[in-house]
Amino acid sequence: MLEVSDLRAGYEAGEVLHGLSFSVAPGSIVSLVGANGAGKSTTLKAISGLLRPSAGTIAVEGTTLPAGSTSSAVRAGLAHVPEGRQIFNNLTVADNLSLGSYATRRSGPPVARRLESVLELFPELGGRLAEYAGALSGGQQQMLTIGRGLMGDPRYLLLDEPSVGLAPQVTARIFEAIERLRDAGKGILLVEQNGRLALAVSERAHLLESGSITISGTGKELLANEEVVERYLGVGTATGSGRRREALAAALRGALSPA
Amino acid sequence: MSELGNILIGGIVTGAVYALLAVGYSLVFSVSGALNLAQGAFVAGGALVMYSFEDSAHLSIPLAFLASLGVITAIVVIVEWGIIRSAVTRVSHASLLMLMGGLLTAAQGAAFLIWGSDPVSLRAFSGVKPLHFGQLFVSPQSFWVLGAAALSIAFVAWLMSRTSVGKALRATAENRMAARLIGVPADRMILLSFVAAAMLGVIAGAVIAPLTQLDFATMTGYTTQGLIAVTLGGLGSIFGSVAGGLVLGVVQALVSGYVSSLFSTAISLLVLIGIIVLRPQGLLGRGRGARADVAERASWRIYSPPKLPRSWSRGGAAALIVLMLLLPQLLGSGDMRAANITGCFCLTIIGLDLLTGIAGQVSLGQAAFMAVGAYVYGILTVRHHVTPLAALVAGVVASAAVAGVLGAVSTRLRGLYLAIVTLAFGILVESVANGLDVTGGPSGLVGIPVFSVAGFSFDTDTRFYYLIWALVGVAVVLVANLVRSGRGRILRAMNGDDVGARSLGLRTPTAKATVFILSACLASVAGSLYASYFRYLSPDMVGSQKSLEIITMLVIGGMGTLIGPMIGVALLTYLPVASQSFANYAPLVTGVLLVLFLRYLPGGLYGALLEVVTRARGLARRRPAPPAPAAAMPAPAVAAGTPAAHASRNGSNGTPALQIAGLCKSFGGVDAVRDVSFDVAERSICGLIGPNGAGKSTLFNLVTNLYRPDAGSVSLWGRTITGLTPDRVTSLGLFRTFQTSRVFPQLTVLENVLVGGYGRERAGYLAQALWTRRTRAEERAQQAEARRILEVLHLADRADDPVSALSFASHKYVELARALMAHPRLLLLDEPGAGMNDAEIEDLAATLGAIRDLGHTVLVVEHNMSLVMGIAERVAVMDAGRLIAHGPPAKVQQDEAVIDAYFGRVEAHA
Repeated sequence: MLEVSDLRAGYEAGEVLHGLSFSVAPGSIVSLVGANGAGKSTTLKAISGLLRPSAGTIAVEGTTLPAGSTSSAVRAGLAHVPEGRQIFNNLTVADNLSLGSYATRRSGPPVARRLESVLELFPELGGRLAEYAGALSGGQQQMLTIGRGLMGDPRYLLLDEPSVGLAPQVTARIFEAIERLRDAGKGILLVEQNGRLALAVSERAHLLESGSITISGTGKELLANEEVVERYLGVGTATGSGRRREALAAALRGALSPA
Repeated sequence: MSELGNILIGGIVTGAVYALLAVGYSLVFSVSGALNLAQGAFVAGGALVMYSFEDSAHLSIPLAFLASLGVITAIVVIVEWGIIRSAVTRVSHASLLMLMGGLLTAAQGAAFLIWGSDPVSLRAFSGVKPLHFGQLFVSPQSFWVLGAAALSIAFVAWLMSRTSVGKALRATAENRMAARLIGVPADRMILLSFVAAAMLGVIAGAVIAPLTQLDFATMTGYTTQGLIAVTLGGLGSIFGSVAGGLVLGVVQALVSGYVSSLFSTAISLLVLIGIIVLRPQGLLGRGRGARADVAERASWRIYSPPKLPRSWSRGGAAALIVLMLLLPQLLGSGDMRAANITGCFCLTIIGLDLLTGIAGQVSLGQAAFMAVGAYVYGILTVRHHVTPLAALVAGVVASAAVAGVLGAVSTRLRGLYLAIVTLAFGILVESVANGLDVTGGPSGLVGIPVFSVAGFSFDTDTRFYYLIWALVGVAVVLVANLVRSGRGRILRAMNGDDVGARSLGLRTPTAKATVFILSACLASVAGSLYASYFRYLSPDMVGSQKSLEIITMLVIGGMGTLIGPMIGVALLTYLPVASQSFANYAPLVTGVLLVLFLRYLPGGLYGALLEVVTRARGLARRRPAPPAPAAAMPAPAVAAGTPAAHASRNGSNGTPALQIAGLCKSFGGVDAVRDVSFDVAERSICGLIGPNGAGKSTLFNLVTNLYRPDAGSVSLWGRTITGLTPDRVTSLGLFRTFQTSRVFPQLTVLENVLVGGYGRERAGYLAQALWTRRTRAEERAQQAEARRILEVLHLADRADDPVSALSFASHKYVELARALMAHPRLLLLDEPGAGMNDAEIEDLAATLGAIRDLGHTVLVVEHNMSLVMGIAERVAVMDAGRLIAHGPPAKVQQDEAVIDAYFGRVEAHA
């Protein structure tokens, strides 16, 4: 279990997260949804140690992580897959992947076995191991970022906007992989701009507004929750495309008189 | 032919040493971002330690080498762990550069204390009998140099490309955040890079020492040559560094062989300037394109000292003036001498404070401009019998010309280039002063006449005292005027965020070059008077060691306060006078002080004093910030309140305010913007929406000319702006805000807003420095307008707070106020509503509507649909780089493609 309790964090200009508590069970997908600037990415950074929280604890299987240390988070079994495909362009695909196991290379399953399972998940990368990572397509770069995180043999994955800028088929491919990882027992904390897509695959979801969790529930509950729809999606969540359009129009009409 | 061959071999041997230095620079720089100016200390330091082990401990050569390697590595580990590791992330780039300079000085000081000033040479490894190859003579040691360099570099290359540690180093260098995320400990990587650089330095020192003579003073030379080599090859590129080192060595050897050894230093500087002008990324370096619109969130901040209340500073100034007037009556002749020397350096340091403390640019060769002033004065008066005043003016002209050239080539690049260029210039001046006959060489120039104006001679200590301190007083007043007026705000803004300032249309390279020239002129005057006071001039009086000493004075006194640095000068001038034994320790002490102050007391002594005083009096400026009230504003208030309404009266003849036609831009094969065309009508709000990564920000940067389009064009009121500089675009009436709000952290709220009015300022540098009546009137008018705008935006009560005390949401309003202050015809707003709640969004909508009613045209990127749909006449929708819809909100919201793009494609995950 990855447990986040009363997490507070921020930047120089002020606190961004005002005490978040939630948990991620192994073999489940938990989504954080919410508008831009609500603090979703900041939450992931505070969990992985990239940003030192000002208060609160992060615990993995009951052991509290030291604050602000990415390497201990990695060794404790967390992999933060950052937004925007932060791969090492000037290293080869193989080197990118092998670096993913840098902090855990002396523990856990052998690195070669990890590489095998990553390539099994993303066979697209198999033929391009010797190429520079910068030469990959956007979708393959996203796969590489996730694959690099998996090379650290994590139990929990923190995925930040994995579908950004990807074509629909590629997004579908990435989400298929995410579900396979969940089925393989990984706990997944997912931050996704495409809220509809994220909620559809999530066991549990939290709506983040201005740094606080305002609504929690299962993915389906949040998808069906009118309030979430209004606050975040801004349009109806009906599944039929005709109704969806009507709901969109109605919501936007409502938005036409803001001042 | 044989001569050429021998010269080339000599050049390659020297070049191999430079290559080792350059590789060290590259390793450290790419991993930590620090320019390790102590690199040269490893070479000479390693050789000196090895000498002691051979000479005193009677170790064999290999053992002495290993012992030296161990000693230097241990020192590096301690210094890295104690100082550098934390400084890399906590102090500004400028401070880090100076800190590294401090480490070099400290190393030199320590070496001087231990080994004295007698140069040391090591035994050759395998005899001195030259080997003959036809007509070529090669000393066996040369083979040791080449072999050691080749092996070391091959080892580094293997390490970097084959081992996991090397790959982790490269990963850290390329993307530290991502490297940290996969568990690579960045701290250890920085340590590793320093240790590797130190080892390369020690190896270089060990193999070259039998061929040359090394002492504490040669450290600076190696530091500079290595720096030139790595700049030549490309900072961060291992093979570039090797190439740079070899090229520099050979060029120097050719010039020394065929022209004169004196010119070999000059040629290094020319090579450096050439490469900076033609190919700043170096021969083999890769240019790195950073996103200009996203502020890098560094954890360091630039220290700004607290301000004293006006009555206090006036009282203090009056007391100081009285004291300075009476001082000659109180001091003995020895002390008068020190007071006069202090005056000369105070004049220099006021310029340096403007350059470094205010504008954030580091000059590592400020004493060289004193040297230019001093030598021009000395040579013209002694050898050509020019009058002292004319000679002083000639010195100023020469310094301004040199500073103009050096500034022009380096200030358009990152700050470290100015540091590199000035360091090299300092070394050049030193070697020219030592090498030419006309300067009197190392023994100096004697019989320099005292300064006189129209027959009045400043020939006594007291007369000179009043002259130099009157000049210091005038300089302080002029610079202080400049700092508090518009130009000063620009300098301070650019100190905190150069790219941000530049993308607002401020001509920061020009501003930097101007203050650099000003500081050089002040140093030149100080140098002329310094030489005239001593009636004698030798190279070490104004050598490169002095440059670092001046920086130390600046830092321990308190950068950016004008008064503080003068305290630093007084302290470091009096200490050696007071205690002769201190003089021996001076370099070590100054170096250590420089490092410690930069790391632990960034405000210097004066800053600390101000903190203590203001705290004790309860004047602490950092009040806890109450959450800024959301700017709830009725729209008409703006119309009534701001004269911004004058902004866009002319030119509305039906031409669209903004025309985007066929715009394309791709990055590394990814099409960020593909063939986008749309217009924004005058006096309308156009919303630009689309999912993350759709290309909105890229489009924005194309419109503001931060990026150059691959195809297509952008026109403002029918005028194509492609190819214009950001400041020209701003002057056409375009102003922007930023997604991650880019306020200037060390300015107050009011000052941030005033920066926006820069384009309308008429007063130039001179008028502002003289604080003329027109300047005062203009400043008053601007301040009044800025306060009115803040009033409307409900920020009036925070106007004099540091902007960093405000919340995120308030920063957006400060940016908006700054934009309004520029009287823009077209406003580009990048996510003004990010992080705002519903009520705040509602206020923002009212604000933007009011701005439109005033006659401005607005293009707004926004995620908040209610905002966009509520206020925009037209909405443009982008997805995956394409414009997929453009029209009135009512139409766009019906568009099937928009619904799919923006609200998710569930069918994609069937």
